[in-house]
Amino acid sequence: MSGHQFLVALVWVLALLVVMALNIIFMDWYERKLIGHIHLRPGPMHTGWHGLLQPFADMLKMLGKEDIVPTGADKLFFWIGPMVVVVPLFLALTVLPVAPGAALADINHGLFFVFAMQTIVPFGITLIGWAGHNKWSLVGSLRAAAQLITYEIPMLIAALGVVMLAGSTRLTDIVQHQTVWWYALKLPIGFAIFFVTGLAEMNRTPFDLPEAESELVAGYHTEYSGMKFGFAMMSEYNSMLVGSWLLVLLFLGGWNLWPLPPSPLWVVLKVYLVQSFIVWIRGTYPRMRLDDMMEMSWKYLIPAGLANLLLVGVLGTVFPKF
Amino acid sequence: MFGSGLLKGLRITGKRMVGPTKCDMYPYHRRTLPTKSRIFLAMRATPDGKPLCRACLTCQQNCPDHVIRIERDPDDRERAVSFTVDSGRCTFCGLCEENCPYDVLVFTQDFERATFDRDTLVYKLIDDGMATGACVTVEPTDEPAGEADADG
Repeated sequence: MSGHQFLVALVWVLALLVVMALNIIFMDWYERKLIGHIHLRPGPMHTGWHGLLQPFADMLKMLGKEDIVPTGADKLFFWIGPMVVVVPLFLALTVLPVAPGAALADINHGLFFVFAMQTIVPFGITLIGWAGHNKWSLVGSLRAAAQLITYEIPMLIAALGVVMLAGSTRLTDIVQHQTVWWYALKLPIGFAIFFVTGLAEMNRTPFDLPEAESELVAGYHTEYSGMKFGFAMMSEYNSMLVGSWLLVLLFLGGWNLWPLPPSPLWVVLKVYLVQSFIVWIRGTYPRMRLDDMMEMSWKYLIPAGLANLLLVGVLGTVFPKF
Repeated sequence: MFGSGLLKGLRITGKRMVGPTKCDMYPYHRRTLPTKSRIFLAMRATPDGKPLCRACLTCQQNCPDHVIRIERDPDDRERAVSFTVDSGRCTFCGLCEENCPYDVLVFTQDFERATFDRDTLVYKLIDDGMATGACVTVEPTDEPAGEADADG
């Protein structure tokens, strides 16, 4: 690697870090505002104009908090856990493009790289839950492990349909195949499955069982305080960003918005529309029961995903231009 | 149709999400209370700080929760030395006000009495024979307060 390439990569990494931080700051405020309005409340109003500075106040508060390690906690895992949930999602961001080839690394197996990174997150959550030495966090982390592993399968199957149509796992190629017809329109079943499983992968309502605050105190990060808790929160917003970005690239045409010219702006717009929809869902639906949730994946989503895959195969063979 | 309930829920929350909020923003905007609202117990007193209470103890005897405690002046049976209200026990039933023969007990609209400490919920309406800040001032009349009501 030459010095020039290194410099470019460094700038990319810094830019991604800024994007990540800005997304967290914005979503922290935006989610509370949307949820507030759904409850007919105004949401944060005190700090700054309409509470815009609230995320900074929260951050300052978290930085100032005492970092408590509970007695009996597994100190090493307690320390490693928050990093294991934050770092893979940041790595997943590095391969997500905003324009043709415009990613830190537009690798040819970008889709599988993102999935691989998302798969590491449940390990981190399990570590966090185990290390806290608390039964609530352990229950939360076990739920997370079960849920995330269960919902990865239909998610991969749904994404496989897209890969079969596009004939590539490079995310740029997949988006270039959707100049006019998005895969969401061609594969509505696959899109629905991917969205639902995406919600489960992000631990969002109605699948937020790992942190079910009404049953498990705060779920897997009950024992965390200060900036370590902040990392767990950050990982949640990051997984929302990665998940909705992936959804936009795979199914919603990425930077294409026919008949308008392609632009990175559409990616940003669509990502935030998807995130708004996710928050909207959070404000609407109650949490699913654990057995219902597992049943939904094993009994309905996986068979539906396989049927979708079969359909894609048949349609792709009969109509080669599909 | 299967799943139509999901869409219905989204429609309701979606409407609320874009619609106006129904929040009073309490400390900045205070809603005017209904004129008949009765919140905390107070006592009528003359402008020079003399309570109109005659220490008949009717309120103390009628209070179901033993909220009111009156100390009489040993020399003057119609004068209360202290009148203590433990609002932490009060259920705001209003029996004291209803039964007061001289109509000196009133309920005010002051509702901001939340505290961090149970002891501060106990407050005195009469202390050392004089009305405290928790009393309501009334203009003196010629006849003794509430006498006509008590007879009628």
